[in-house]
Amino acid sequence: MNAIIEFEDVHKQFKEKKALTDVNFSINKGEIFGLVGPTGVGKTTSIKLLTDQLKPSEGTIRVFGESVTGNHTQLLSKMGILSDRSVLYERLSLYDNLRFLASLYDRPVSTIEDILEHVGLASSRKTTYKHLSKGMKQRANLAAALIHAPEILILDEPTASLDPSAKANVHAFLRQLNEQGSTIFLTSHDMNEIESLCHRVAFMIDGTIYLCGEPAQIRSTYAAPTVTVTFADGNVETFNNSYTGMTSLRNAIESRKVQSIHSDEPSLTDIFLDVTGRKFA
Amino acid sequence: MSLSMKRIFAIVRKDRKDSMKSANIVPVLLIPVGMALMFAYVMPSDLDMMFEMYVGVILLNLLFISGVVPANSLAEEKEKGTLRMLLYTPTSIAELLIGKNIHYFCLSLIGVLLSLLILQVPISWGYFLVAVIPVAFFCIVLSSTVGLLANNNGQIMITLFPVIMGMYFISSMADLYNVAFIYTIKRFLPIEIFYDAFHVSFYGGSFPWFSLVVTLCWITVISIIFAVVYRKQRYT
Repeated sequence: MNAIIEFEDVHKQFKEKKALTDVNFSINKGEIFGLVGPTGVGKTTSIKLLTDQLKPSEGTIRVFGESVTGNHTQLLSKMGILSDRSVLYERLSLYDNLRFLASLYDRPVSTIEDILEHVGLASSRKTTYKHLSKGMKQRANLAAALIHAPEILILDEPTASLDPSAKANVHAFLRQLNEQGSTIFLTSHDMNEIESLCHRVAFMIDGTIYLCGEPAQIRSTYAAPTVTVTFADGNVETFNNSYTGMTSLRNAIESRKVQSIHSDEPSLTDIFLDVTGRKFA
Repeated sequence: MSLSMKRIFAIVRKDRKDSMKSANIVPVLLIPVGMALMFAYVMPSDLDMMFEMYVGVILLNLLFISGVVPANSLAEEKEKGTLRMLLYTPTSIAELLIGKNIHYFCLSLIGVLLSLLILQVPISWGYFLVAVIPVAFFCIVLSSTVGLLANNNGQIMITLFPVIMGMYFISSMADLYNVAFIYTIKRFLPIEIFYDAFHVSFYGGSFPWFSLVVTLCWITVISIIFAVVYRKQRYT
């Protein structure tokens, strides 16, 4: 695998408070990686370190094999960054905002129309930013993050303030971007979002990574060794996945009408709670 | 640290568009010009009175645009969150400050020229440059320093506005009261060069070296303070 973002033994301390402790993970090219945890556990600090807005107390963060410290300008031209607090200039039109950003990245003005088409805001190009709806603003912010065709998209709680429909639109767009080759680093406290979007996830609590892997792999690791069968008559029975359990299951399926069969895999939320012993906030 | 002129001028263009639509900035730009228009119709016959009035209005214009507006604009970027967005681009704080200051420096010159045109004040270009450029430079650096420290426009109004207005009133009213200690303070104000250069241009006399040196000292001091604040604030 080709890792393009690497956190190696990263610690971050703010005076008395430890924000990150021994954080290690890497993100491969072309994947959607989710950093998940409740509010205030160090997700945004990780992004600030990644974007050279903060310096790690210890450890190294590399992007494309280069340390981020001191490479601010070069690295930020390869990254698109969006958070739920992202804003554009409210008195300027959407087009003027994007034109300003395009000139900061030295991109041709022609890219603006393509991006606006892409995020479905072509008809709102002359609307001032403050007159856009919340969902449209977030799509405009996404357009701003994509104006320079970044190789990595960093999303800090991108849908935290959106309604379900706007959230679904953003998710669909992110999948589309990923299919086109973008690598996406996403932080969220919404486990459903992480589960539906990410190829790999890392659980973070109090600045420490507790678990990292593919959602399906994590679920199967923590799955109970049982299968639950609901029969047409309404009866529900659980079968162990041992040899005898599976034989009983085969006999039951042959003799009775089955409505559904489910493996007893826990959700990522259940696993998170189990592993970290913490509640989501 | 490498500076990109393209990014700096993109910031100048953005600020030009944005400030013309700002309810905080437009009045600050319009009030002194409005005052100049008003004074142009109430023209005193006494030359001393005319000098005090005209120079006062033009100085007020310069102090407002170069002294208050840059801090206002920077604080607004922080307050609204656009500064964070800019820092996610390859733009550095230095480029942002240079871009903003070029814009407000030009705006100050335009404001002063407009006032001079409205009031039809006779001044040579040499004295105009000596009067305006050091004061505009000092005010912009002072304003940027306060802008880096302040988090919102309320803080600007509490801290910077009294300083700017205090300097203005001491400078323009000292002669009225004729109190020795106020007069001494006035002589050491960074904006005194403005009055002195206009005075020499109006009435004749020797070049105001003392005021120019005082202003240059103030520029050095405020530039050092700015550099310290900039280093401390850029990672905050």
